[in-house]
Amino acid sequence: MAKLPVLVADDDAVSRTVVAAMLRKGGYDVRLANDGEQAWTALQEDQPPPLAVIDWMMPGLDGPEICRRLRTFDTPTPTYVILLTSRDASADIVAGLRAGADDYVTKPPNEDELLARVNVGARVVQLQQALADRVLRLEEALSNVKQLQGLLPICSYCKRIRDDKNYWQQVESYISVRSAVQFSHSYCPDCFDHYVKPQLDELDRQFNENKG
Amino acid sequence: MLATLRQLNQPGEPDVVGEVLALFRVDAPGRIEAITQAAAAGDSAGLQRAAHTLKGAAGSIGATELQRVCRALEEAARAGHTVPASSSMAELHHAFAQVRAAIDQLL
Repeated sequence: MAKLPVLVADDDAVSRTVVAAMLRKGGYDVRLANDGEQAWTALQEDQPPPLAVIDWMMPGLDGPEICRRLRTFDTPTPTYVILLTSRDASADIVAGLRAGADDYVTKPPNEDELLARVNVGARVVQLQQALADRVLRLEEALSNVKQLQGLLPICSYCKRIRDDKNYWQQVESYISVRSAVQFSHSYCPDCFDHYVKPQLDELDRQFNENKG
Repeated sequence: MLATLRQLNQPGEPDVVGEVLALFRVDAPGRIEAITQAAAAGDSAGLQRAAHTLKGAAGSIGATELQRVCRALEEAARAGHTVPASSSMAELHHAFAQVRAAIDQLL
């Protein structure tokens, strides 16, 4: 399987390098951003990394602001964001999560904890992608069904209908196979005169003949 | 902490410990300078930011004493004490000198 891209954004080169090395060892395709503006640019590319580990405190665009901007996008596959926060700032954590972060890791990060949390993010990202793909396929299938239902290939002489295997069927059997419609049988006045009345007359005639 | 960093080394990849320590060696003096200037200018927001960044970097390489001093500076700046006590600045320079000496021995 291809390595999952992860954006690492931190204005401190030392922290950025350490976090990047941890994620590379964990099997991720790491992309780097040196500040919030670079991170924001990277997250708006055509194929943005689905996961981002972003430092809370950066000059210019900070982590929570990036989260807030990301959350204004209406997308079936939102970026999974993990904020890096100071160990001694629990108010940061609440503010970060409120801004729309999915998770946080305290700095300096412990390798096992960081990877465990990023792996959770990767699972969420993969589920989101699978779900989005499935919804797309269902929408396509549904529009095909609607097209089929809207077009009934019908013979202009005998009024029979052609199904998708090219068999010609009676309207009744065609529709009862494809829907929950139930048929109740009766006949119209024209057909009564044309088909039913002659049969009744014939029965009458036979009855009178037998009697006579 | 360095032992932890060493575990991040992977075959065929650059030495993570060397890279990180070299980055710290290059970046840290600028951070110390930023702290000193912000303190001199009475800029508590700038002091808080600069101390915070150096704290993070120190934490990443396991320089716990420098990390502690930076945290104290950051918290004091947040509390509004714009000009840190001269003893705090002396502590900062002392802690950094020790880290620098340790790095120079390793590199």
